[in-house]
Amino acid sequence: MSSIGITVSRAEQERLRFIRWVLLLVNAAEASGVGSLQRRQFHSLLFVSFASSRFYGIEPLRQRAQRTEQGPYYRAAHIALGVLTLSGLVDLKDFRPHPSPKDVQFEGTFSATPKGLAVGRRLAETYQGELLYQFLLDLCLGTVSGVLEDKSPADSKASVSLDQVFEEDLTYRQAVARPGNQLFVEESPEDQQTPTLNGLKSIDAFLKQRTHINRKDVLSAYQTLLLRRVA
Amino acid sequence: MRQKILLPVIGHLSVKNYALYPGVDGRGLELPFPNGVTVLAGVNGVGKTTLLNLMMRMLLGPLDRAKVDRDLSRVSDRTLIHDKKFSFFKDRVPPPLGENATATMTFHIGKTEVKVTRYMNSMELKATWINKKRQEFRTEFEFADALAALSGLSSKYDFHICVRYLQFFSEERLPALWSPGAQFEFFKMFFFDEAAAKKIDKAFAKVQNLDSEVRNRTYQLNNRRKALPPKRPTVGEEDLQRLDSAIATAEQVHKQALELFKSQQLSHSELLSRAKTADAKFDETEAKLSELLSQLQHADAAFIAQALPNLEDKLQFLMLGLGSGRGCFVCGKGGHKEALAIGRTLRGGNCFVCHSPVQGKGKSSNVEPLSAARVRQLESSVKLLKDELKAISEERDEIAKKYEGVTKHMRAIATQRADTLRRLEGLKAQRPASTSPLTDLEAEIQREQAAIDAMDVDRKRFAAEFRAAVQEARSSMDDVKEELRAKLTDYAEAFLREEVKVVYSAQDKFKIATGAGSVNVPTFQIKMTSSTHETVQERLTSDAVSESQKEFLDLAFRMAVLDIISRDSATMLVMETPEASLDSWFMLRAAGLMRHFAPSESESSRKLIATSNLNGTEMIPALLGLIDRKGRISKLAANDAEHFVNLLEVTAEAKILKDAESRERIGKELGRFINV
Repeated sequence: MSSIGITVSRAEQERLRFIRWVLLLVNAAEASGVGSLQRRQFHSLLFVSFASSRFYGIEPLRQRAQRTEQGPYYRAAHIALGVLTLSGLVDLKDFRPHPSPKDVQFEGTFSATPKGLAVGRRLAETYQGELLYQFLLDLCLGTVSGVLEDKSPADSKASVSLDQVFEEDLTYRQAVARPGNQLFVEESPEDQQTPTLNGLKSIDAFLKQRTHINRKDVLSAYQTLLLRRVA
Repeated sequence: MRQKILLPVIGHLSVKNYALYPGVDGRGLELPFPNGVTVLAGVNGVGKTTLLNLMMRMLLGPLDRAKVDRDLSRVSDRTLIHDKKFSFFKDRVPPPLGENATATMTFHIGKTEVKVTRYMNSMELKATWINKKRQEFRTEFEFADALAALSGLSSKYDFHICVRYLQFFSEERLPALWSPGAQFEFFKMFFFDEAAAKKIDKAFAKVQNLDSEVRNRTYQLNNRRKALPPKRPTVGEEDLQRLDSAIATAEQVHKQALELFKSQQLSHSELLSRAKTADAKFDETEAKLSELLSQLQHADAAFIAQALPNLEDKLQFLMLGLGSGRGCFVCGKGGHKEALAIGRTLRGGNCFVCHSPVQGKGKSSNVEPLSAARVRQLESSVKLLKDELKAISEERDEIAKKYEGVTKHMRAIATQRADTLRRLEGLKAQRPASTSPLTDLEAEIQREQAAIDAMDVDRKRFAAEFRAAVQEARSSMDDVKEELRAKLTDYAEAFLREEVKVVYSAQDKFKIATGAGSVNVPTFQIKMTSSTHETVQERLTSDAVSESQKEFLDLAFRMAVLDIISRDSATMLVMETPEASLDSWFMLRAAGLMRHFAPSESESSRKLIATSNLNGTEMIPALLGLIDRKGRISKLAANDAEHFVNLLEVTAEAKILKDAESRERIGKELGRFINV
């Protein structure tokens, strides 16, 4: 293979992959009908995506969220969103700083832009990108069918439900139950079988005995179950 | 049918300078032997037997059979040896016996005249003439070969046997009629085809030699067996056999365990080798994958970077924002001056927010764009390698599983091997230890026995060959058996005056060798009446007849054979008259037959030279044909004087002659048939 002209450091590689994940997540939310995401929802959805990505054979990014009153908070996501926003790939509304004892946190509502969607399509031209987008889209679609069944994403009740469902995620609940300021999905190789993944596999095994399903259906079922728990 | 056989017939004998035979007036002995019967008369000790021996030795020289056996047939070594120390005649006279003491004999073999002079002290050849021409022979053997050739016999050995044991009927005579083997030997010599006879001799020699070796080695082996120490009483034979059987079984079991262990060891090694290969392959693939993953991650990131807006794009975006009146996204101020400030900062290669230098200043015109296809290619390669790695991993797992199984199994087999070895060694330890020499001796004895057994098989095979050769040659007797039977019958009846039936059969058993069984040989058997048997009874053995009958029947056999051999050619018989046990009646009949055998007048030269004692019997005049039917004895005619040799006149003076009474008695006896 001919050498690649651009040199990208390892740190930069991780940052770029995070940017892709974030952009594609925003695009998937848009495409699935979830629409714009508030900061809290976005970070929670990010957490849930990391917890369940292995169901699609995607290795999650090694990131830890901070434990905040507003749910999980990824500093990297903040930076990624900043890049994407400044690049015009993500639209930012209601931007305001958020009081926090450390770091700079902002509130806002994030949604996709046409340019961002175009870049997302470009990023989905690789296998990894394509798979990632597919997964994130199915996740969002599952969220839509499970949570926002008869609600509009803008509906405040729906918004609350979404937050609660995210926070009912099995891996999130496990992470929250751990002491410390960090919320992590996989701390060590032993954590690869996250509770979310196990739950998804169980649902998958259960449903496959009865009907022909795909992974999206499993994600939907999972979200529905979480919702029922919330209810 | 073989070629005609011509026997030697003595014509004249002279002896010079020999004290035993000074001759008349010390001129030496001169004895002509005319056709018909010649009597050599004397008293005991005068030298009759010595004279017969001399005549025989003049023909045969100082040669003897290499192997002497009373049974002529049981000789495998048909060779002659030269007795360099022959001193028979030398020993009979006071020493010294010079080389001037010689004997010269003239004899005929067919039409060939042979004259030979020998030294009396050794019987060595001095001079020889063939048909009056001097002929040199380097050795006795050469001369003997020449005589055999003249006679038509197969070898000098046959010539020797013929002269010594057929033509000469003396003290050292061997049984002929009463020995089936001897009969067979003569028939083979005179009547069988030469090639067949040689074949028989060769086969017999093989059997005999092997038989001799077998018997000798068996004898020695038995002696060696006796030398074995007695067996230890601690372990019985049966116990030892059981122990040996258990050892054999244990050896077998151990051998199987060992083979199984080796087989498992091989599997173990193979698996280990496969595992190592798989590990190496895994490491290699993992390294490749790692490298490729690194490349992919880099390419993936680079692709993302390419896809994302660069700094220029961001500037344009910001400018758009500013230009659209939105103002600076930080402070909200908007204006041309602010836009220029941002642009100046960016074009200077610095971030317009924190002013740190940034890469990718302006457009990256020198970098080749990374296509999605290239990234996908990398991703495919990674996937392939991952699949390959997965396959290798599965293979390793499978090998590891098998290896574990084999290792576990090997432990069990190794234990079994050790156990079987322990058991075997334990059993062997129970066996009584034998000292090295005993074991070697026993082993040697076994080997020797095996060798002897093998030779015995060969012996039987050679015996079968001999039987086949005899069977093949028996037909040679067909031409002569009837004539021979008739002649023997005539002679036997004439000698014994009893009805004799001679039966020819091929059923007589001749023992080939001790361990080689017997063979049926053609022989003649005598059946006759006696005072106690009115009908013809079978008399197979010499023990069944009287001594004198035995002798005369043997003589009758010789005469019959000589008659058949000679038919219309010359023949000669030299004998010591067996008169000791004869009564006068038999004596006359014997003499008559002997004259019948060798008539003075015959177309061919037939001679019978007989010694006889001057013992007052009528044997001598009977032999000379001087007794008429009425028993009256006439005097020997002058022209027949050569038929009677008074040895008392030509030999050294016998002590008996010193006695006047004896001299008178002898003189009276001689006076009955000669002019004294």
